[in-house]
Amino acid sequence: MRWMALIYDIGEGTRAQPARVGLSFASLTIGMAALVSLLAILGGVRQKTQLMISELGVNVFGLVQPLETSRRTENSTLSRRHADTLAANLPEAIVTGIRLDDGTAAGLPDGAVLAATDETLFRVRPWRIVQGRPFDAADIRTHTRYAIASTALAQAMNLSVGSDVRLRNMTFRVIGLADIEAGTLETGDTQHAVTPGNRLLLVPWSVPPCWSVEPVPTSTRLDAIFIKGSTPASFDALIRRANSLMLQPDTAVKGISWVTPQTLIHHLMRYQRLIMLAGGAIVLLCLILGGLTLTSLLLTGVQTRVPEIGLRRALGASPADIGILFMCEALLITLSATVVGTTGAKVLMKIALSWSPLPLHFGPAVVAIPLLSGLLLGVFFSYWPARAAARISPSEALRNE
Amino acid sequence: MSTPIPSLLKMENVAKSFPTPHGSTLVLRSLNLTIHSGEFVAIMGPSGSGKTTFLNLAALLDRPTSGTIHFGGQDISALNEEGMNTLRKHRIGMVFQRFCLLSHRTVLENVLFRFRYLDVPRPQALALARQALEEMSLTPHADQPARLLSGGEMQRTAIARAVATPPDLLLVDEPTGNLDRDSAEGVMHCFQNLNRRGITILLATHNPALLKYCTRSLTCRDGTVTEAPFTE
Repeated sequence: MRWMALIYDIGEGTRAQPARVGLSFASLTIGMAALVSLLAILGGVRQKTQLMISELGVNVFGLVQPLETSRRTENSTLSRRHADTLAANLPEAIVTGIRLDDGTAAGLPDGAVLAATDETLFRVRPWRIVQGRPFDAADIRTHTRYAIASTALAQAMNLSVGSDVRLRNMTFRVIGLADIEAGTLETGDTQHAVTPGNRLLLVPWSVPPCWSVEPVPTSTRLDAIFIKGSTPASFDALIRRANSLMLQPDTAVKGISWVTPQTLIHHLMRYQRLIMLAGGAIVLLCLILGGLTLTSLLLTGVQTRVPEIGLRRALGASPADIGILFMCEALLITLSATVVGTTGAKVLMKIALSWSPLPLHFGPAVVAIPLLSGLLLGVFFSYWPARAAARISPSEALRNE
Repeated sequence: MSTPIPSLLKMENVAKSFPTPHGSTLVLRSLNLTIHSGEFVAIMGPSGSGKTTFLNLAALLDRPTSGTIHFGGQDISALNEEGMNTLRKHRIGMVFQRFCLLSHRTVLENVLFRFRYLDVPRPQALALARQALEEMSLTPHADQPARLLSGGEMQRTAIARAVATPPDLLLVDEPTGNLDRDSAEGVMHCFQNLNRRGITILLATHNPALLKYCTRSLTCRDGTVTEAPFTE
């Protein structure tokens, strides 16, 4: 019964000052919503990076040349020649290359990407053949018009193994379907080559229409080269050797980006720092403002409720009972602001997601941290008012009656 | 041979002073007093004479600067804050001049507030509260907010709250100070009835017209309390 009575008292106490309680509640709700948004964005960035690292593949790193820098001269373009050089000099590694083309121009549906690659792609990248088979060396050597479709594209185009697909008036036979993850973290110009999206059609790199001349020259541009090491222990050494090879006078290419798990983590840290600094400052200000409003509300409450405090003491309340009452009132406000702020932020961010692809992740921390913050805020900002209320002498309080 | 009436409240050489910026102010001095169970005692005196300080000491809301107070035979100087609270919530009721009601709560909720710090099951508390309201003829107002009552009804609500669980000692501070004559008479009849049921009442007032309801009167003047009847 005493708990029920306490809950009732808390409700009555907050109901007695609706305007002040509303102001305090509103400012705390805004603070909590900002905190939830910040946590969701940080969680989203972290999750996307982890996803991208896993998409890149285990022990895999990449060399990516952004489109604009690759359209320079033949000597300054990342090409099949570089992939061959790396493969020849790094015998313990598997090397693959990929070149992207506009799928829509080639006759694929909107948003689809056409990619030319080799037989080692599926041994390097973590993409998985779910039906049919990958390319083999003979497919590449004999310039066979084969294709491998992502499951998403296959579904969109109603393709299956054995189906034909038309690309620039030429027919390609689908020999496999693959699970390919969608693009993840925005990593500048390198993103598209690393994660071309889940509507992807792969063809052998030696086959037109990606290249209009035969035989296809080794100087043919590549958007990215991916290298998979054999063991995690030798991974850093492999990157160093690849880097050294790419600095040789006959292979040097300007403007290439190295995509490694470390660079992805570096991106994450940069994003996190920016978000933490900008968002964290706003969140902190909102929460402090809300907390101070709460303290002001409680201090006014203590002053206006002196006779009530006296009555409670006359009826047997201890100083701790009085302190707990005021602290619980504060906790009711902070925790309900937390619940409303969290829910509101979640709804707003879900709406925002439909407008633009924000990296968001609503993990358990997005609920736990605001709840804990609400609890701590309630205790911290109500401590002094609650202490003041508990210290009021009952005889003095009743004299004010 | 008659059985001696037990003393409920006994004060021996009690003094109370308050610290002020200009030094300590002595409000009550050398107070020796015994109140027996079943008495209806009026303590009269002008404003500032120390009546409320005396009531606060009797209500165990305050401790004396010196001297001893026994309540029900128990020396309260041996009690800590929690012991005083326990004694107060179980055995003492209080009625105040300005009623001290929770204006936004209903009459019934105000009476139920008596049980706020007592471990009484809700159904039992509800039954006792309704019974107290019935005795004070307030049942029709039970669900009304307290702020909508007249002065007399407010004071009767405060009395119902104080006696919903019958106290050994009921302390009453200027209960008619804010009431018209008819309401005052009604309220004093309530006290008289409660006293007849065995509740000891200690009434602080400066209104001599209330003496007729009491069985004993004390005068508080210049920090001392004597048996002499009050004169203006």
